[in-house]
Amino acid sequence: MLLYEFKLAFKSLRKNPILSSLMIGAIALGIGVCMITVTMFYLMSGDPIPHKSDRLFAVQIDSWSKERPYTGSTNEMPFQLTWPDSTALMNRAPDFPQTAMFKSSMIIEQLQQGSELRREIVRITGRDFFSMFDLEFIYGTSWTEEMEQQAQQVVVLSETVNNELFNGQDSVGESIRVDDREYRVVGVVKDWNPVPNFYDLNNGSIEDPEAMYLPISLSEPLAMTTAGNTNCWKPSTGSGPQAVYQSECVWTQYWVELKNADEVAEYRNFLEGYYAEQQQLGRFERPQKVAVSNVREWLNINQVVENDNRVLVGLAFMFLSVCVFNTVGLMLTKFLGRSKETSIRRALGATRMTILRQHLVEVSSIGFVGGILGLFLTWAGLSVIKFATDIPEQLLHLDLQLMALALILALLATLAAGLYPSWHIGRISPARYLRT
Amino acid sequence: MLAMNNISKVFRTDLVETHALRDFNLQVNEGEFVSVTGPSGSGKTTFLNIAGLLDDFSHGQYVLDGEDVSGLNDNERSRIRNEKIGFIFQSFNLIPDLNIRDNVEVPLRYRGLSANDRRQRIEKALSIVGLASRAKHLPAQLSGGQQQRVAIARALAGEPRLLLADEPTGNLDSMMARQIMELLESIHSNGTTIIMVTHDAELSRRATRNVHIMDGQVSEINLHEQMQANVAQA
Repeated sequence: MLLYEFKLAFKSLRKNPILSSLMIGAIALGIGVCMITVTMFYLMSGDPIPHKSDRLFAVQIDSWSKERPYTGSTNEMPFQLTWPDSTALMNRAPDFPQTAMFKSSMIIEQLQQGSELRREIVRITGRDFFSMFDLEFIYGTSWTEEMEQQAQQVVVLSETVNNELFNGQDSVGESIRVDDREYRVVGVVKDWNPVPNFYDLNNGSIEDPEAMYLPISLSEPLAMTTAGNTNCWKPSTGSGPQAVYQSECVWTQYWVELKNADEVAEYRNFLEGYYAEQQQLGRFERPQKVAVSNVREWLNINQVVENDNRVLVGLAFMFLSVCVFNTVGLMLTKFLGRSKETSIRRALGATRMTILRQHLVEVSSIGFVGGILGLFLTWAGLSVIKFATDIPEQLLHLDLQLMALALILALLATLAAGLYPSWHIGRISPARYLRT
Repeated sequence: MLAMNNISKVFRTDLVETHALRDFNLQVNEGEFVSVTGPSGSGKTTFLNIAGLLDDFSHGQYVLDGEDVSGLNDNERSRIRNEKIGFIFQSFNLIPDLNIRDNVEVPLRYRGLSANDRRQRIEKALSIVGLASRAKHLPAQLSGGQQQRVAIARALAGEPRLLLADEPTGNLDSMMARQIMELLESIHSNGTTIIMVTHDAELSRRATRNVHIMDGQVSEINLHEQMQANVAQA
């Protein structure tokens, strides 16, 4: 019987293509708009490193002015640390994998004559960075502690840069010039660009992948400058890049990997001790406040999924509701247009439930086709967004879960739209239209 | 086969109350061919709709094939319509988007018959009405008489015990009307009970019994005269 009902649904859709197209179009448009916003929301609110997001912790220390709290974050603590605090933590904190880091912008060139100069975003970080965040090495490894101590100028390249500079060959041992200094390649990692880029949210949650990684141990001696945000509550003394290193400005991110609650407690104790020490030294003037936040907590503190996004999703669903209401009217028109046929079927033995089911099958078919078309619109919409912005490819990825959600949403929306018209047509008295 | 006792049907609007049938009593025995006549608005079609379980009645008792149908729910009424009753309408009431074969198949689908059963019944019914070769045609591609024969085939395919015909020749010319009437007589001769509403006195006389309805009541059952007329004709 179900096959028969699908056959009738197909006939019905073909019989009035304009009305059918309007219904399918309305559903597809609603689904498309919904899915574009849901996709963005889903990706922004997703866990960027699900297998260890509960073990990676961002460190915050309230080094701000005693006059007023830091107002830029939800927990009234700066998102970043000062350079003195970062170096103190790297030197003195309990022996867990951890690193300070910051983003810089540098000019890169190959050593060969005539090589093209290019400015790239570079991450200055510690050697633990690669294992903590699970970057995958294609060639070589991270730099070693010994290299850091010897201030060796070494670099880990991203796959893209390695492809461009060395045609994708193993470049370990080769040298490149970065900001007019020669660096030796010790490793090549696959491009790493989590969305959202939780480890450094200072310039937004979506950024292009970084071109290479340099040891943070070189940053102060070589006076590397940050290309990220720098926030200060009092002016730096002195001038030039070195002044920033000595200042109370916050501009470095700090992450630590802690395996369990005991390690978290131990690290927090250390931070509290460090805070108390700095208070005694007269440096920190605010009530003691430190925080270690795992990735989920960190995304919340940074309001990566902003209320605006939630409102947008709400508006998209309201738009879908409008489409559904329009579809109710169209379906009612379509179904009432065949009242006589329904009366005939009722006279010939169809029950109200049979008529209801027949129409719900048709409604589901509209929903299915609308859902498929909606997915296409979603893809097209995301492509337009990609074209118009610099949002990376990952955001355009519609995974199976989202596709299934789109189809289920389309079916539910059309069933909601079709329930009343189907029920209404099923209530028609069998005798009503038989004489006309 | 059919017994209506004191059946009343009242149509109500906010302002008007119309008694389509009042204290309507009628008994039809199995195998009868009953013609129902009466002026327009007398209640013929209302009677036929109630007889065919297409419409409810306000008061009274209706027993069909030994079963009191007064309190049946929609599913049970639909089942009885599907299994026991065949309908033939003045305006044929074929589904325009379905071909002849599929039109005849509709009641069989709702009975849940197997594909093989359906095929056999459709072929047989279309053969009886002489339209087996037109199975793939759409209703619009047939003449009025042919469409009415399809409607009869659709009614016959379900092998009903009661055939209800509402002005079956009303939209046909005299030659077509005669063919349809002969078909109905043939069906009746095979034992099917037929109740036919008609305005045509000549067709009415060809039934085994005539019921005249006036103002929603059976005003006259001239069975005796009818039988005499039939004998005289023979």
